[in-house]
Amino acid sequence: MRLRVIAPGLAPTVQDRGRLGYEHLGVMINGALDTRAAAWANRIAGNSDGAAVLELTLLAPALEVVGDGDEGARPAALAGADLSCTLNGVAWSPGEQRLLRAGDRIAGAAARHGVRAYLAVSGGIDVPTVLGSRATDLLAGIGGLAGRALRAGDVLALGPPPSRPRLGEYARFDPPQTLLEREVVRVLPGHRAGGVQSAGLRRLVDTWYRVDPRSDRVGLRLRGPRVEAEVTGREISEGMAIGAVEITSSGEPLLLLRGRGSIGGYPTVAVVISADLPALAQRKPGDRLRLRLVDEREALEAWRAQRTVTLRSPRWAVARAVRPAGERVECGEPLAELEVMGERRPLLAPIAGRMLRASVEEGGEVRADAPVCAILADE
Amino acid sequence: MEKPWQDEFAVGDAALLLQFGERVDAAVNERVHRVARAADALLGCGELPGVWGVIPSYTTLLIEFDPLTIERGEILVRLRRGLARSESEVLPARRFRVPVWYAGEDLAAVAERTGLSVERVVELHTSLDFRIFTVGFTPGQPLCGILPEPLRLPRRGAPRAAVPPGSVAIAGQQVTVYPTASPGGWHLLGLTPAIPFRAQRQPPVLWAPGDLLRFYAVDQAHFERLQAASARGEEWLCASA
Repeated sequence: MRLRVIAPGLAPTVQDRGRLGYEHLGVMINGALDTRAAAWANRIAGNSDGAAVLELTLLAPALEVVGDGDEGARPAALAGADLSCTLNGVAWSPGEQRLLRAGDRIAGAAARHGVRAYLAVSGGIDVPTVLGSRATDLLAGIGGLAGRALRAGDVLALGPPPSRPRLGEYARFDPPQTLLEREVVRVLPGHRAGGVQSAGLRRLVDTWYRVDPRSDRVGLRLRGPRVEAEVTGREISEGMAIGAVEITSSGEPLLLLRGRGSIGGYPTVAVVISADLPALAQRKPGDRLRLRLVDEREALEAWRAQRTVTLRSPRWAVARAVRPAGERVECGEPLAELEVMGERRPLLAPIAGRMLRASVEEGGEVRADAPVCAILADE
Repeated sequence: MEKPWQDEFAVGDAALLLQFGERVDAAVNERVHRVARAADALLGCGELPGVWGVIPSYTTLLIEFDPLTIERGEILVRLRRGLARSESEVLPARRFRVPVWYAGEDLAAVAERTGLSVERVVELHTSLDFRIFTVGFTPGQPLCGILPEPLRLPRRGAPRAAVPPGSVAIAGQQVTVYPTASPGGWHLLGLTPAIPFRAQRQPPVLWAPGDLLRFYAVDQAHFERLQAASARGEEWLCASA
């Protein structure tokens, strides 16, 4: 099965979790800007979190599913922004799984909520890996399909569907809280702010801004009152963290996203917390945005909460052999066994991560939809 | 053992920055890269779980990590331990001779603003070895110094949205080559046919921090011959010890 682009919409790209390990060569990370929504689409489609997906921005493309012979249907999912997508003319909302068959048509209309949507298909988009990743880097012209955004006529291959054990079943898990309409983003003070009390930082965090139309995958530019960077005026370029809020020489805040260059010269006055980075990917030009100063404890709690996946039992059963906290689990490995009427079935992990806690004791009862355990998903 | 770095800063909840000095200086930069090499060695043997990015620059080293896997303090402890058993020797610098067709958009303006003739600008720019302090901003881009005093100018007021790939540029005491059509606010002196980054090459970037670049002037015909060779995938740029 393949996907053919009929009309590209607004520059869709192939993305995964990004190109890690080459920043010392100046290679940008890229990958899905809303990492959370991309992972969610993959989970619903039955992929691991790192499978390559299509990142759709504001205007969805029109796609046709092309068959390759006797292959059956493939699960697919949308997550993130609501771009009014349809499958064969029938509404397809974010968070829903559909089965794709040869001849199917995917289309979209206007963006209803958010900016970036992710389309995951079982098996993932199969483009060659470049430096360990399938992510498109538009600036360097590498990864994805020939290092560029998709055009009409492009055809995308799909990887082999993941092989899942036939016996057993997947635990149910809660959909993530939406970040599409988040107007307030939390930051920590930056190391070049000149202290938490500095006027520049105070000015920055107490102000409503609007997202400037010159924003892109490198960063969000904010329009509003200028920030006097009475910051420690080192002009020596240094490594730039994702989420860094730089103040440019004209006093304009620039929030760095995953497409940012590895090194920059403007002072970092604040840094967006990890848990709120996906929300930045869903702000479009003209949207309001305000930064709120928090402490590191709140930042880490939010990050932990966001990555915690609670797994629920599909039915009323007796829990056996629940994995202990701290153990590493791979996608598809048993987390527990559920005993129903004398039959034991493994409960399989839908994602890779680390066991955080068991919610039931050995031999304890668990009702349908009650929590069995929680996993801390890999980053 | 002397303190390996001067300052440590938290950068958000998932990065830390080590600072080694206050000015652009080869000795300070060598200490940055020594710690970067120690971090690479630790990563290679799985001793820095959760660390996913290491970015050395002129005077600083940025380390990116998952704070739910490893704490900032633990990274520092392991880094100091790794450093204590690492080799302290400085890697021998290689010298790359980089051809430049000096016909950049800003060459005349640079000459005018520095009060030098165009010939003198080119002569100064080709008269010494520039040390690569770090590679970054865009893939393979060498950030070099130290430009002689008479050539130093502040950045342009308005950055260009896209500089031509291969542009050889200066700003302040820095010198660079832009490998891709990236935004840039530096002064463009000329073009090189060398291709600093190819994803499919091993290694993808020919030069490394600590290496030296020496520019030399070529005419348009020579530039075009080398550019055609680059386009055919030929690797004509090589280093001498």
